[in-house]
Amino acid sequence: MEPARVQLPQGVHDLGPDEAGLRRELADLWSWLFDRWGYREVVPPTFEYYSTLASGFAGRKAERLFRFFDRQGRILALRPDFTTPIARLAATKLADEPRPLRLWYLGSVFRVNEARHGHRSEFTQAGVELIGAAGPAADAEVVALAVTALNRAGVEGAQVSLGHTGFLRALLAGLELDPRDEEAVVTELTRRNLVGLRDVLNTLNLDRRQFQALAELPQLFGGAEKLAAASQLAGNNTEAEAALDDLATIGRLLEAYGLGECVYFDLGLVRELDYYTGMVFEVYVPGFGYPLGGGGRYDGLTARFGLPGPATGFALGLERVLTVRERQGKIEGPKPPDVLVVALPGFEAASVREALRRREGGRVELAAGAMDEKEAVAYARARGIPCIVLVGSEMREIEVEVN
Amino acid sequence: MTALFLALPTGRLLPETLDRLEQAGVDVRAVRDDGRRLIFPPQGENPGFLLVKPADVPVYVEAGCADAGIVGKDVLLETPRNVCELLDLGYGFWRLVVAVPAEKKKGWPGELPLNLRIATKYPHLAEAYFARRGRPVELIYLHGSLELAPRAGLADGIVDLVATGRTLAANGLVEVEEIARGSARLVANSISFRTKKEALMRLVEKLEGTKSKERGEKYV
Repeated sequence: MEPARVQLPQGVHDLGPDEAGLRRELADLWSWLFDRWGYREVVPPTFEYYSTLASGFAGRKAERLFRFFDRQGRILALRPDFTTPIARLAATKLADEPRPLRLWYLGSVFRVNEARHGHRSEFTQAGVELIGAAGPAADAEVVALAVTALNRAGVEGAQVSLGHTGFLRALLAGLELDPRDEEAVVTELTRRNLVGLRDVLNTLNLDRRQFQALAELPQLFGGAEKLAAASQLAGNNTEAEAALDDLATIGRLLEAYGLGECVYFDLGLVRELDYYTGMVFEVYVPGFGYPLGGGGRYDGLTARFGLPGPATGFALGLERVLTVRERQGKIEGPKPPDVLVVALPGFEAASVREALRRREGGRVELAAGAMDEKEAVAYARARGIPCIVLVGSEMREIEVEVN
Repeated sequence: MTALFLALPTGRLLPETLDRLEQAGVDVRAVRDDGRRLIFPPQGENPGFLLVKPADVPVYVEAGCADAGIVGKDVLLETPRNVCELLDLGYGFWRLVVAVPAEKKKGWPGELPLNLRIATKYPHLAEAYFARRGRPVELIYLHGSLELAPRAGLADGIVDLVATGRTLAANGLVEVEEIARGSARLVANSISFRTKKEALMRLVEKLEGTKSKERGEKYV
């Protein structure tokens, strides 16, 4: 027989006990934290109809979904994020629950990546959705919770940049661009392609002020002074002002949360997913090349499932957070058991009773089958277990030196 | 912490890149002096450098191993990565063209033959071009010396970068259509764009300075 294939498909990973332990520890911490803030866990299915999930992944981004067929030939897809399934859940099963709904989730999401780019195809997202609450207070709450989740996880120096889709929309609305040109502008902004942005803008017949407002958008990053600069760039634009006011209020509330130090305004932030309608944000740490998470307001999404209403939320990338912690030197794998219970030959039944008794008070491993003392010490040392209880005609505790 | 790490492309682009950085006030002597080292840590405020193959520059920048890098736009178009394009550096010009044997140029570029076999190092750009032209094409990925492929009967034509066109001519090929053209770009990691924005924008300004100065001189 040919040996079975040992290679994994690209983009998926095994977690060994150490990694799984760290993941579990972080998941437990976040579940505790989200609960503390009044959020309840929900678990949507791993796959559902492609047409449901496509909301945030329209057009070419649909290629990022793992798709397959059911028996009737309908297209299914693995969930690429949790926001859309939870919006559907909120608009259907939870339609009659009082608003706002505070929901949290943690689980795998799946995205098709370019081959050999080193990106994960399956990764863990944890986050919250605050559904049925409009206004800056709700936005500030989810941003504050995202940053708090990172701080609690032991990530040092987390920063958040706040943007607003309403600001860009207001700038674009006045221009009455062809939809294709508008998409080109948004694409270049999303990638922060300053060169491409200017190239596109140059083809568009804009006046000097309009050109400048869009061309300088990616650079509007910094403190509250950037809101003033943005207001000036936008000219007398009521909608743009409303978006900036919204951001200013969220910024002030975040100061009340004690997070003023790590908040930056970033009017050039355009998130990749299509469903955002208001404030958007990303969290990251200096020195790590990818965002650790992000989110924003998506007021139109639940309406697609028949129940209009405001909503806001975020997702954090659990693996990225673990990677950052490791780089910051804060990783401590799961601890081995406190005690190894070992039966000398013939005392297996007594060792079972001893292990059960000791499990009331601590973490106990029962040796699989009888061993002599020498074998027991060698095994305990290899596993890092500091204490052996040897069960024979009498009970003996042996301390083991572990490093 | 504020010093930048830059990914620089080895090969054709490197000499001009080092000259420009020097004009922008960046100390690149260490790179010039040591042709074998691949990593140069920052010295105080002076940036550190990673020396990598041009196609790998966006890979290092996307992952944040380097805050920014210098690379031809051809690379960015062929394998898009999530990096911010900050500046058109105005050198390292390239053109991507279709070339076929002189005796087979009939019909190009107005009416393309059907069922083409094209050898290229730029499969994505080539495929996008033929899709735009509405022509089915079979692409053959080669690693170098593309000019040989039509002569040896492997392909009907090639999609490749040209500088002077002399290599094409020497192998009996003629350019029939330009697909794209561009120059070298300064790209940045999207997080560094925020966390080291000031240092990056200073570099952009200084590099822009080297550009306009040269242009100015040209017209004197």
